[in-house]
Amino acid sequence: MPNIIRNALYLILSVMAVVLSCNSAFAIPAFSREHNTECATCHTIYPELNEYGDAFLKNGFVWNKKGKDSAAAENKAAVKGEGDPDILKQLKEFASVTTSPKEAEPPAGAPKKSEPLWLAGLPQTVPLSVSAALNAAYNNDVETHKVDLSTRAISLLAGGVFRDKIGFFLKYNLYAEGEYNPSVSNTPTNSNPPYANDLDEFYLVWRKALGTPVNLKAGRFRPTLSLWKKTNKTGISDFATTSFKVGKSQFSADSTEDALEANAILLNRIFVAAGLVDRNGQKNNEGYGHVSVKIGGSDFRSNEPDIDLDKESIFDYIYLVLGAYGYTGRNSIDLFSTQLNNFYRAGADVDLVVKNARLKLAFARERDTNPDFSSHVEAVTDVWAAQAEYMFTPDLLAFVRYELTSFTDGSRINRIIPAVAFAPMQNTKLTLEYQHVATENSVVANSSSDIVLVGARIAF
Amino acid sequence: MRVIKVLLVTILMVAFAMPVQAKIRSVGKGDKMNFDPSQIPNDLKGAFEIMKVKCIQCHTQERTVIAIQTGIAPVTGQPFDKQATKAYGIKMLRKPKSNMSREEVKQVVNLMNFLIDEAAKP
Repeated sequence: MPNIIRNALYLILSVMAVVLSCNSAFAIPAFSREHNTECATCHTIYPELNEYGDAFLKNGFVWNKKGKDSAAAENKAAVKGEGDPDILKQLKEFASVTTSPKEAEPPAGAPKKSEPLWLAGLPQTVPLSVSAALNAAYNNDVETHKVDLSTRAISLLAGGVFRDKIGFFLKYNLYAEGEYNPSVSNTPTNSNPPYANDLDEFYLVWRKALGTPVNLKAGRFRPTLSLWKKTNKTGISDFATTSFKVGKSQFSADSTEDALEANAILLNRIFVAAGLVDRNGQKNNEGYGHVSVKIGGSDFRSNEPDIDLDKESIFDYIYLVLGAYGYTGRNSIDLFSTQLNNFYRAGADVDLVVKNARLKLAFARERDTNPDFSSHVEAVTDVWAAQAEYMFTPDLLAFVRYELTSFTDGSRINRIIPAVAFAPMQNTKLTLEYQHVATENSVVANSSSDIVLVGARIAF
Repeated sequence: MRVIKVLLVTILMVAFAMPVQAKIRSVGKGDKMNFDPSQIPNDLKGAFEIMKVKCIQCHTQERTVIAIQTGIAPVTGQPFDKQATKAYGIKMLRKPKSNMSREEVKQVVNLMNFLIDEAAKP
């Protein structure tokens, strides 16, 4: 066979191999690729987390290592050899987590892991993903520009863990266009100040620091406050309890902050977190704390409850998570202003899941001493939210949410938000959301508005 | 001709040298992989039918076959023993999308425990 034909055949076969492997390798994001599992392992309808996704997050992007110690001991006893004791130790540890106690090699089809990659502390796959959102809004109550099709965003995501010790997560806003309003849109900002908001999140987690149950998290991230945040939802709009702002203060529970956080799972069913937030111009660091308790269902380490398979009980299908948090801080309109605003935010959440139904209840209160940075008029803002959610099929979920925001001056904002989310594929989501917003004001006339939002989101 | 013979012998040797690593036999490859039905006893055939229909609603049988053959759950890398089969059964029972009844879960757990025992036989 002439060399040219043989080379052409090799080339065609190589290209085919690459193309075929890409079809499966790039169909799903980084965690799915790394763990060779589907999005539905951790999500209801992406990006809302289910209880296993929540446990994965709380454990610094590592699955529960149940039984690892005994398996490791067994393998360590079986591994013999001489040489560099440090390398040998690493190899023994690697063997204990990646091979069967019975078999040296997994059979055909089993995910194979690269020892050199593991020794280098690298994930087995390149941990990068892209998420993109297109949103359209229709608002009949405005004079012009009733339809807005120009809201879109693309983000680069990276996440994983280095040898089960150092977890990392990154979200970089590659591109965003359109009006950003947390109450009506999930489009991230990448505008002023220059580049400051491009890096939405980037943090490292030192898992089980110094052999303790405490995970140390540092970088830019959303402080652990409410049970829900804007990155963990099925609809387009965010919960008012996490997204609301008071006066000119830019603080919201959904804002990313430069922070250091310590968190831990206690007794498998209690999660505690505490952190310090650093911001330029602060006199003192801000601080926050969170505690949540899970009753029923799998615990925060994904251990399943011990259910009697011979006895039917509705309680086997129920779990309840109770959460509470507090945040205290002080901000101003700019770094040099003497007009300071001291504030605190406190909140409580309830998450109740019964089979395919889910009820989310949330309350948040913020007290500000000078929210307009000029008048020093104290303000107390209370926000209530209740969302009932039902998953009809694995790819179809609907919810209705009611929110009430109550201000010191007696004015109130009511929002009623029904929505339907459809995921034709696990990494693709279409959302149709309607918002009825009614404002009751003691000074000016009451008003209302109706907005229809349509969102398409993909991740790969 | 000699080259072809050597090539054929080599191919046959490679084919027969593929390691048979477990007592549990499988048929098919990739997403078509399944347990060899001939090794399922009659009293567990019903459970096998449930497994074939219900488990593949969310994942391929390949995942289960690998877990049984290797003793390691492929996604989590954790031991796949009888304690794990019950835990996975409970997980599937509680999973809103699994569409599995308690009786079905129980039968599939029994089947997986049988397969684990078979895989452990010398």
